[in-house]
Amino acid sequence: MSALVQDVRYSLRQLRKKPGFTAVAVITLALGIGATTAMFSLVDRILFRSVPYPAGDQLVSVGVIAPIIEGEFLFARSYLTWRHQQTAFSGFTSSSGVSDCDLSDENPVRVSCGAVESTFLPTFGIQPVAGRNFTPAEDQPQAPRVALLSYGLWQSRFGGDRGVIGRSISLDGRPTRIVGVLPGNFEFPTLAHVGVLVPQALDESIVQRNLMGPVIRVFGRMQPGDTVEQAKAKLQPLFQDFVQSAPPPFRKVLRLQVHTIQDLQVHDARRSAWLLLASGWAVLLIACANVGNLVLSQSVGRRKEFAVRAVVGAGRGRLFQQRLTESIVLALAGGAAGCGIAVLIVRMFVALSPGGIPHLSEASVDGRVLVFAGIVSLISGVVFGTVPALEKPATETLVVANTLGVRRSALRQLFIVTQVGIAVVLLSGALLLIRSLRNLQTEPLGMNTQNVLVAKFSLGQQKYPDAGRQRAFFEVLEQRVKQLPGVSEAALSDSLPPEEPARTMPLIALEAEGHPPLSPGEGIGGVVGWRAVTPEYFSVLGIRLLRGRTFAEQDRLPAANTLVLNEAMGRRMFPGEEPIGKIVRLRADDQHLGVAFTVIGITGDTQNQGLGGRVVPEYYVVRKHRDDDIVFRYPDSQHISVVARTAIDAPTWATELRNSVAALDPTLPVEVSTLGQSVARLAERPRYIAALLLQFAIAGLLLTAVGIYGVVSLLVTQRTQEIGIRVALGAAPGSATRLMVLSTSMWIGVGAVAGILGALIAARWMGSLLFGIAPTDAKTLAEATLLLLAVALLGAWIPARRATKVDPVVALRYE
Amino acid sequence: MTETGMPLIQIQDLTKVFYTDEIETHALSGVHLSINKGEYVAMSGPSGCGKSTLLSIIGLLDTPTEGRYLLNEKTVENLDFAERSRIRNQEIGFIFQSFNLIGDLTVYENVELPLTYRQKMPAADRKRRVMEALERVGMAHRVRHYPSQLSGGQQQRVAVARALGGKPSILLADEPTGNLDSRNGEAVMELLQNLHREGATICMVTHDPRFAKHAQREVHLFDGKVVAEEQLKKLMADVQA
Ligand SMILES: Nc1ncnc2c1ncn2[C@@H]1O[C@H](COP(=O)(O)OP(=O)(O)OP(=O)(O)O)[C@@H](O)[C@H]1O
Ligand SMILES: [Mg+2]
Repeated sequence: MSALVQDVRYSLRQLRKKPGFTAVAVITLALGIGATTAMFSLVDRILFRSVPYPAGDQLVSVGVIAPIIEGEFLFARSYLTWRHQQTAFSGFTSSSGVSDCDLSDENPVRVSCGAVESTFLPTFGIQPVAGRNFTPAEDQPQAPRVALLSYGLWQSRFGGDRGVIGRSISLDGRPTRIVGVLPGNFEFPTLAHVGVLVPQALDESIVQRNLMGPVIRVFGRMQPGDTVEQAKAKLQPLFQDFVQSAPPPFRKVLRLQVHTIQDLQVHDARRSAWLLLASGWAVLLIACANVGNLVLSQSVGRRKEFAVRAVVGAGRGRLFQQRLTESIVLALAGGAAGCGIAVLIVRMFVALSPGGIPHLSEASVDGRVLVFAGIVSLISGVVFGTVPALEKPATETLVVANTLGVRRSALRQLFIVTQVGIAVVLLSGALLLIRSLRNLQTEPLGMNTQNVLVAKFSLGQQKYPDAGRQRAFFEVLEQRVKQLPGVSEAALSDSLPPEEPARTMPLIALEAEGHPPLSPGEGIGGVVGWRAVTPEYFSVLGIRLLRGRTFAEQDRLPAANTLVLNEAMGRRMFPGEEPIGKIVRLRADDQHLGVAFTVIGITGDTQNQGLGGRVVPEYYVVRKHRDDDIVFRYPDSQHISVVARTAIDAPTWATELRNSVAALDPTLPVEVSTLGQSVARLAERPRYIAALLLQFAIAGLLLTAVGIYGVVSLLVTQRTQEIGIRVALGAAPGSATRLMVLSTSMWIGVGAVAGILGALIAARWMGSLLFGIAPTDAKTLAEATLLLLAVALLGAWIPARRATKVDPVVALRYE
Repeated sequence: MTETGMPLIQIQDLTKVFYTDEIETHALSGVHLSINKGEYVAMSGPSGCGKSTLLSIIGLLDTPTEGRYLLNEKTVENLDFAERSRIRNQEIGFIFQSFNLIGDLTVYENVELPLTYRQKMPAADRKRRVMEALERVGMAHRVRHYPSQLSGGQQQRVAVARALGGKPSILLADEPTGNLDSRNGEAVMELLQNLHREGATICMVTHDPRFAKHAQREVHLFDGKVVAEEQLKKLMADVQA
């Protein structure tokens, strides 16, 4: 112990005595450790931290995957059966989802209400901080309404007053009694924001009669010790019954899904998260290679010291310990500075972050992250310190030979190879992401976003409880928008490309005139999307009409039933034929939809699966502004997007629109953007990740250049005498520079080759993050390599130039 | 210190060959040497004859290519690095021509250094030993100085103190006066002589005949072998002829 104290004290003194060395090493390490730590805190919740529920790894989301519904679900009726019969779970509960609701006593606000079963909180192991959970009796359709407040809402609206328990509030216009308050760290398993938790109050008698009934999300707590696979296996018999009860075409496409809440929350973010974390580690490794080289060059100057220590009795273990201690002390100093850098990086990244990356906004440098930084610092100290510390002390040189010659260290070259290789991998990864992003953004959308403004509305449950109220609002909205100054055309739609259509349907539910129904082998025939739009939709968005016509006012007459198909849809339903004039029937059980529609036009395809050039078949129906419009039969009919083609700027138009809407409904929030902005928003996440990676790649590149600069500098200093002799013997001054650059560039070359191999290996893994570019794209790889070589050689050349300035006379006097 | 008269170092038929690139250098070829406890031996001979090589083998800095070496009646020629470190630390004190103090450590810390490498020596003991050694060489008033703040003669005295602090069985010195002017050189020689009088065993390499006379016995090396004094003179004459 006293040896350790002594080593630490001595190390600190060493560092203080060489402020230049210490500063460079600490800054370099701080960058590396800061980068890694920042990335760790960004991805910690995604990758490592467990969900905030007791024994959270036992909690799973359970359900069936089917093409028309996103994520796993169960029909309420199946849920009741499964709840009764399942043996896989110690707790089994459900939620019918989160939706907008209005708190409407004095100063009304829109919040979100999560509707859950009474067993939800107990299954998740959550205790209200005040009051209680609702009882099974309160979770009945006819029971008086009760609710739990989120901690945030309790604080902001009720000032954290415990007296609210038992008080009645008005929720969507209905009196509701507050029975409890959720804890501050409560998190809905889907990460949906929840202000109020209410009983879902499934009406079991209705559900039992209705095969396809409402769709709910199901959660289970596995028996202790069970794995997800085991739980899934136990559910198989129930799932098989479910499949048998489904309509035959669906049977093939159904899958049982059981996955952890962690998986549910982060699904596709995981790969990007690993990518970011790996890039942080890459920067750190480069930094370690740099500092390793610095430490090696320090130890050249201290060989006498180590030899003396060995002579007076320090064993190799003891010397190793001392030198490693020095490296670790250095690394911890770097780590401390790195934490500061990490705080800055995290703040910046959180500020820049787009929505939709789970948990990103919660990232901060907390105790757990500091522990991580400490461990990373220790590891880096060991990484860059071990190799120099293993050097054998040259005891014999103290007596036998007086000059301590330059030992050519293969380690130094190893460090160069490592950092060059890693930098190539980082750079090529960043370039790939940037190319992919550009591809995403330049892929034709199939519409014209210029001069188009978008406004989105969402009607509250309380004021617009039924089709009639919603329809009435939409009708007036359409008229008002068209009358706004500067608007040449305007339209309403339930959703806008390139986002997915709000509604989808299995192809099997459509019947094309003159075509036999799908054969059983075709299953449901895939999924198609549809949108309900007003007639000007196509011209406002600049969607090309290929044949026939788009909707006109006459199509809105009660008796008219017309359809417009996109090209993909036309080809899918009427291969090799002209679809115009053909009849399409919607074949659902619901007799309201058994109407015959006439195809009147074919439009060009627009991207409708997000960015990335994918198009699924899609058809359009016209919004007639009638209460029996098809859209009102679907949930979410309260959402509407308004598009307008106008030459005036967005803020002016927004003001006009707000004024106009305020006359209709003063409480309704209006979000306005240009269509260009709302498209660009879809590319935010890939852009964010590309930007993060690019910053790290640049940091890696610069660190590598600095590292090479350092090595060559030292080489020149150590070989001044040799260079002087060469020059004295008649070598051209430039030849020494060439010699230095050449001897280094060989190792840079080896590093580049290693980097290319590394990039090819990493590529396999990056594939799914890329669009329109192969992960092994030769051009990108070549560019990354060339860029790196250029910067690295510059790093070598600048100090090597000093070799030409060596004065042969001075060099010969050097002893 | 130790009982005088007993053989402390016994070296038989020792050879040392250096292999560098394709050249073999026979630095020592068949050396026999024995040093008794309490003896003061001076080693001399022309440059390159192997004095330093022999001293570094005696001091366990280097290993012989062949031959036997008994230190305190224990065979030591084939020990590993760790064992040699330990024995060096306990049994051997070194004094170098170029002092070899560590510039980053104070006088006190330099002298303390060998003791810190010993297992479980109480701090108080350590301090006492360091101060004793420094007083012995007359440097106790400079404990807080760094080597660069001392004259050459002072540095060498500190180096002697460092060698003494561990109470070694033998002091080895390679041209301890080589980097000193004659006045300082004599002071160091006087110090060694005093130490010898008090019972220390010393083996010193020197090419200065005046200093060699201080010793009880002179060993002459020539071309890697120990030779008698008359023989040395003859050989030297031959070389010059
Ligand atoms: N590490 C080594 N590698 C190769 N040869 C060596 C090495 N060390 C010493 N020698 C050779 O061994 C021989 C003996 O060298 P040594 O240093 O022992 O001589 P010396 O008697 O101490 O000479 P001087 O009085 O000049 O110090 C010399 O020929 C020398 O070149
Ligand atoms: Mg010598």
